[in-house]
Amino acid sequence: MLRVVGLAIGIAMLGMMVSCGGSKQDSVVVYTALDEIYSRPILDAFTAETGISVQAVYDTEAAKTTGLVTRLISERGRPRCDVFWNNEVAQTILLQERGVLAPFKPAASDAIPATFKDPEFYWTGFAARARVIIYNTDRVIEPPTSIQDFIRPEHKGQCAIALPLFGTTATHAAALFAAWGEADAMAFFQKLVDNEVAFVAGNGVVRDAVARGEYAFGLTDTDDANGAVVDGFPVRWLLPDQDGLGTLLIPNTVALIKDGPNPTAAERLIEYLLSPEVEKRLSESRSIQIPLNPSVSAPESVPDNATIHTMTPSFSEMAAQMEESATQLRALLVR
Amino acid sequence: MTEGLHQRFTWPMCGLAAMLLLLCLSPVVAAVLPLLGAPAESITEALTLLSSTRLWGLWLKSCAIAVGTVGVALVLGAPLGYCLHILTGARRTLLPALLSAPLFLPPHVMAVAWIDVLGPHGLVASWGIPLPALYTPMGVALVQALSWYPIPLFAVWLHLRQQDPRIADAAKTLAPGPFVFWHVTAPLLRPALLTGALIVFLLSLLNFSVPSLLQVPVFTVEIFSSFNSLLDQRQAVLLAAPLVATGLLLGTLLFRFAPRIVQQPIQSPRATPRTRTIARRYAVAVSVLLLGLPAAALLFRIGTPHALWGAWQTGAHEIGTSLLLSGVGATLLLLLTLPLALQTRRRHPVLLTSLAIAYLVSGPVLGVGLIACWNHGGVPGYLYDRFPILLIATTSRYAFFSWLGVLLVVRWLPKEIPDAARCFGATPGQVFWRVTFPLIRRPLLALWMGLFLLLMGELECIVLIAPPGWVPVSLRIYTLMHYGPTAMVSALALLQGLASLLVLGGLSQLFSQNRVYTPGESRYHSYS
Repeated sequence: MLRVVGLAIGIAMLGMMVSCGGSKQDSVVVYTALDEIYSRPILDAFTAETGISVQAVYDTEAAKTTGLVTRLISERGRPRCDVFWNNEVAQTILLQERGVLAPFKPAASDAIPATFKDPEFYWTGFAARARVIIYNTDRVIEPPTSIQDFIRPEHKGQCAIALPLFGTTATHAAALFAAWGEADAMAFFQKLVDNEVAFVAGNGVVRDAVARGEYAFGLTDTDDANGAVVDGFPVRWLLPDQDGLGTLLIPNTVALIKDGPNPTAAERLIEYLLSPEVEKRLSESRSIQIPLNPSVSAPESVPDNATIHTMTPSFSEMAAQMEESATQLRALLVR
Repeated sequence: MTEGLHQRFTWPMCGLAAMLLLLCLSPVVAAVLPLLGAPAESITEALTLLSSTRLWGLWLKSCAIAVGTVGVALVLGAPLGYCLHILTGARRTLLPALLSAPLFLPPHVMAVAWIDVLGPHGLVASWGIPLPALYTPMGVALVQALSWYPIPLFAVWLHLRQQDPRIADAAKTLAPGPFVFWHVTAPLLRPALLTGALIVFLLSLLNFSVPSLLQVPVFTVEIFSSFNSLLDQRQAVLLAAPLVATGLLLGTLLFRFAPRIVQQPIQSPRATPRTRTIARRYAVAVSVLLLGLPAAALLFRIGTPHALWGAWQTGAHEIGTSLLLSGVGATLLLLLTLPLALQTRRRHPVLLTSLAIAYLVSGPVLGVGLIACWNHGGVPGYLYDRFPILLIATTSRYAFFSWLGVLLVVRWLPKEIPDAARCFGATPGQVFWRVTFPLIRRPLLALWMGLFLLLMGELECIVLIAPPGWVPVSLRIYTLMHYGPTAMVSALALLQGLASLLVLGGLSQLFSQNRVYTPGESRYHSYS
């Protein structure tokens, strides 16, 4: 009996090794950091429209183990990925600096504002999210309007943000380093610590903690905040610092991988992702992503990119601060 | 002469050992090699970091959490193991399955369930019962222990089944029961307790998901942030050094001072009816409490059977991948380690240390090394792009546990019996299939199950190398946890647990049929 089982296992293994996986013709491999529930339907639609099968590897900013960026750097010698669809921009720029990306100018990028694409076309942005304040309406009477409210003494111990070493919160921290300078930014984070702000595992945890009323308000992304609203929790969200520093907008970015195995299919996928239909679809989804293409009309609940007062540092300035901010904040917060 | 037979390391065995070493050490070497070419300032920076008090504070915290986890797991698990032992026929009841249930779910899913129960806004708090804060190092230790207490439990249970109750009977004629327990039974349990403690300590030391859910920074955060925030793989590899040193030091001390396992024929346990009643009630109460509460939390989140069906529809492929990976992986691990253990019956410090290093460098470092080793053209690339890379990864990472396990298994084997068969002219195949295997099949099955469950929960290494289309369910669950502990996460976790239970339950049934005599059976029952 056991010999039969062993033989069956051996045959199954052999079958898998011979038949499954690997790169096929008319296929494209995409590593995507955008949440699977939003990215999978779009990739399925691409397959339905073009007949090109998409092999996707998903990741999330909250997984924060090592992620797709480490994988892309490690696989640089023999890339297995064709397209990197990131849900933020700073790490895409770092990949560009590491020589992982190849320049590609998609026709669809013409409609994207210059701020949201690389001048040398190593990456193109689309469908942005905003960093927003989410607050619990049962606990908050006068909503906070600025990230400076997190350090006001009357809010001591009542706020939460994600650990600013990972995901969009890391990008936000780098943006503050770029906007204020290292000393002022570190002083701000020190005040957050002194005001007993909770540094939690991710933006999703911030959303849940505020939704449950464990904290009065927190800093998260539009997709997380809107999800809590849609689910009926007693929460609302707003764009912070519209009268001062501005709100950080973080676009999705798409980039062609240098020497990827399926370049032609990869270029078609990039063109598809930058199409107005995809931006519209993402804006209509639960994640209410903000279209960057001015011709795309979004639902009313989605903030209008043209009217948002955004933070001034460029994405390359933010990316340049990533390492410094992560090093300093790790020393401050991980202890 | 028989000693010589066992210690001979034949050329095929040398080849197998070399293959195992190559499989486990090559990714470690590949991850470490870039350090040699690193710029001096990068190394200096990393060494400065390594000498910082903050870093060693984190290390201390990680060790303290691991010690706390071991303590709670032993307090919970060891008495339950003893209870199972004295419950006649417990192995045929649901009780062992219930008590092992926490192992069937990834620790981060169990953590979410326990947050629902013990958190500041959880079930117990809603009853007005004050609880110590869960979001503390002690909370992490508690939650981790509630996931891993079955490890010492089964170590104790299986070990007690190997003991000869005649020892205790003899002692009982001279001294009262408690004296016998503390001076006879407990010392005999030490190897099982130490092995269970070592495994729990190492699992805790390298765990990242539970501390991060409970907002407690630990040493592994340094490694992950070096990878993800700084994109500095060299620093990450260097930062793994304290973890490797800690694990090796602890293992060395443990093996140096742990007594050798006593080889005795197994006998049926005997206890008074009253003791058995108490043991049964205690075991049932604990299993209901420790399984019922988190299971209720998960079911509450799932809500309707429709959500469970939806999770099955979207996650069936991932569950299949996990089952395949765990089943084939656990078998492969035994195929690689059992022949060596049968041949040599020794720990072989070089082999043990090498396998331990492959685990202790942490999953991401091993993952980066695996990419460097296997992501090339030709056959390695062919394997890297497909399912076998998952098998290679899990084999490299968990060979240490397999080696520890098979050493325990073969030490339970009375070595004179296979030797006698050889003397009578049996071929190696006949000796194994007709003599050795029937004698060790139960502990071997228990080991296979343990490896199966470890592989079902694997996350940190395969996150870097899972090929498109071959995502195990543990990875899918962790990815989906970004949206919070939703119905889908809970349902997938429950399905993963049920799938494991079905596989392991089916195998238990299969192995319990057509029983042959093993040292654990009742040939000697009448001696009382």
